[in-house]
Amino acid sequence: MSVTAIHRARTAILQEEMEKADVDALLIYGNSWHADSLRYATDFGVQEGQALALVGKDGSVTLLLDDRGEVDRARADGNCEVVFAPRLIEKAKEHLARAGNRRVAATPWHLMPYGLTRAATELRIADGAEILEKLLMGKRDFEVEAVRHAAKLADAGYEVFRGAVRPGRKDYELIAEIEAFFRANGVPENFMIIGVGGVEVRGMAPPVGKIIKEGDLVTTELTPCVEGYYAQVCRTMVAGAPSELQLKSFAVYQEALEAGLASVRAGVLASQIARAENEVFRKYDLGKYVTSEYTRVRGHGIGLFPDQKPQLLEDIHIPVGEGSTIIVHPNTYHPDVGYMVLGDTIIVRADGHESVGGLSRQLLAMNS
Amino acid sequence: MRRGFYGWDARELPLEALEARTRRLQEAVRAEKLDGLLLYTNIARPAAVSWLTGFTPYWSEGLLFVPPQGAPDFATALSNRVAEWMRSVTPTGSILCTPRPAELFGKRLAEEKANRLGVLELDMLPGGQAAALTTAAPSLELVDATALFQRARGARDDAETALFNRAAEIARASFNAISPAAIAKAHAAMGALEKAARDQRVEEIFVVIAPNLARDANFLRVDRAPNVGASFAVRASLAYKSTWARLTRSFSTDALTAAKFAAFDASFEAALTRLDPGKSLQAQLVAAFAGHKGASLTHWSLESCRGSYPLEFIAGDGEPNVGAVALEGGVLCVEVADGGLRWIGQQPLRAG
Repeated sequence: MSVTAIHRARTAILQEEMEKADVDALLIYGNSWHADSLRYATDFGVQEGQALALVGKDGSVTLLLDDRGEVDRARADGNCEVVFAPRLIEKAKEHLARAGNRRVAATPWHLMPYGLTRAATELRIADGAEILEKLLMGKRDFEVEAVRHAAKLADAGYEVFRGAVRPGRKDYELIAEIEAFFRANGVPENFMIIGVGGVEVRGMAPPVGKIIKEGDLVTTELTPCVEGYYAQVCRTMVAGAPSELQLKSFAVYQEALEAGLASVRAGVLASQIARAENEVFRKYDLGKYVTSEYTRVRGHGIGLFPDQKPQLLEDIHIPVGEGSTIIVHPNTYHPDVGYMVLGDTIIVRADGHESVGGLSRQLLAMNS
Repeated sequence: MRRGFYGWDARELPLEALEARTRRLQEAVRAEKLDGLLLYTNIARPAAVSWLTGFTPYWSEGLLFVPPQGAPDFATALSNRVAEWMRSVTPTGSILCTPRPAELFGKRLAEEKANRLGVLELDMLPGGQAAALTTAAPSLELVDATALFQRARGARDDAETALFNRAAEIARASFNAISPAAIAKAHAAMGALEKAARDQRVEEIFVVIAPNLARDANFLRVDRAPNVGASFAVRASLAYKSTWARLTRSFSTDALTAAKFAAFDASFEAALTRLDPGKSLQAQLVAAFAGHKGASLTHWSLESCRGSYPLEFIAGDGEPNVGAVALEGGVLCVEVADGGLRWIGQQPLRAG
């Protein structure tokens, strides 16, 4: 599906949802961290500064940007009226006032600037998260296709990563190589963190100049983006040949991933998937390592945001619908060998799931 | 959202420099009789917090609370698992990992019976943070402290100047990775430039390209950039140790046009060395290209860092005067039209 067709399809869906919710306009905030709602409505992937979009029920969109360079880029996209607004709040108020006596749903409400939320009554804006949240979580076929494409690039990126790992290299040099690969393949965004070392490594983070040594675990998650849609892959490899202890430890993660994936079907609760993964760790007396002290989530939704609702945690009881795209990843610390990761993006189906990646789920060795 | 190298190096960013910045700010806070200053950070608006701590969250968000005296506290929604990593790349103050940073500070301020809290760019504070703060401390008055921060920040100190110059140097060197004659697709140029910069330990880089200067000057990301034309421009915005610079260069595979572009480059470079902050910037830039027959300045803009934005629009077309402080350490962009062709140049103004 072409970029224009994707935008048109989403615009039509959004208009329908606005009609159902009986709102006259949507006010949407976005920045380079949280750009999902904005991308859905405008198809603009904001990279610098902040953005507010005013979306009318008739499909009209006015995009306010406070970065001048971004204005030119958005105008080149040609999807909406673009306004350079170095005084973003003032300009947004002007546009809201011009829109008159209308019901405006604003989203994401928690990120909406205080200059607007404190004048909510006067501006007739209210939390409108519901309208977009369900659209972001449940994917249409054309959205799933974009995720599938991103997953293919994630796999290819991981092969480049694996080829780049060797003793003596610095962690940031691996990042340089992967990011260059993604740019050269038309991927504008990638969320990536890394871990290098052994039992001292408690998690992944941006690189700090660590030099890879023989036998180190090298963990990463790659999250490339295609037409705004992300897919993620998490893998662990060894700089050299894996030891018996590393292989034995990793087997727990393989079993946990399989258990998590086996629990997936349309309507399953996020908590049930997380519990299936965590039970495996508890079975091996590693229950302590699935608590928040050692791990953040056991997976999450993925789409126009790399870390979408629902987060897979034992206390999150949100159902996962058919066609949703999620990643299941039992990533955590192992006391014998250090932090290990393993995860794949999947599509939730009526009676199970469909994997979109094709990478081996073994503990990988360095390419010789 | 991608992030590259993180690392604190006391030789580049001495602890004393960060402490001096905090002291300057605290003097202003006390003079305004505020009970502290709150600064918000995320990857889109990291500059104020990184100016005081050297740190930019690679994901999520955080708040820095600067009390009237004593060390600042940084509270972030990044999880406790990465606290040790954050401490390794952040030299000052305490780091508190909490899903609700504003609530944490709100409760503390309520217990201390604080009355007035200054907030940098108050109107831009995310509504969720503001609500958590005012719910936890209902009698707390939030005061916009943007002007206070800008005054206290003032001119760049030696450490910031050196980091800015280093960022600019990396940007210039990275452009050597582009060989116009060898480029058929925009992707290749953008990837090569990005790799060169990341190998030089940049924390972040955004590359965009105006693929056909004979058509327009619209800069596009790699997902929208098609084949390049004979003449194109590449822009790199990059951060070294949380300090941002931006550079744009125009290229041409046509020998005559390349020679013309080289002449524009030379005029721009020469103008940068003699800019007088006391005079109209626009007039000086018009004069810089007046010697090129048939060519004229069409657009210009000046960006600098003065609050939470890494580079913020300070002035542009039609605004005749810019003060000396804004020029120092700023980034100047100019666009020249020559018949149907455009040339774009952008340079960090060398500071110090």
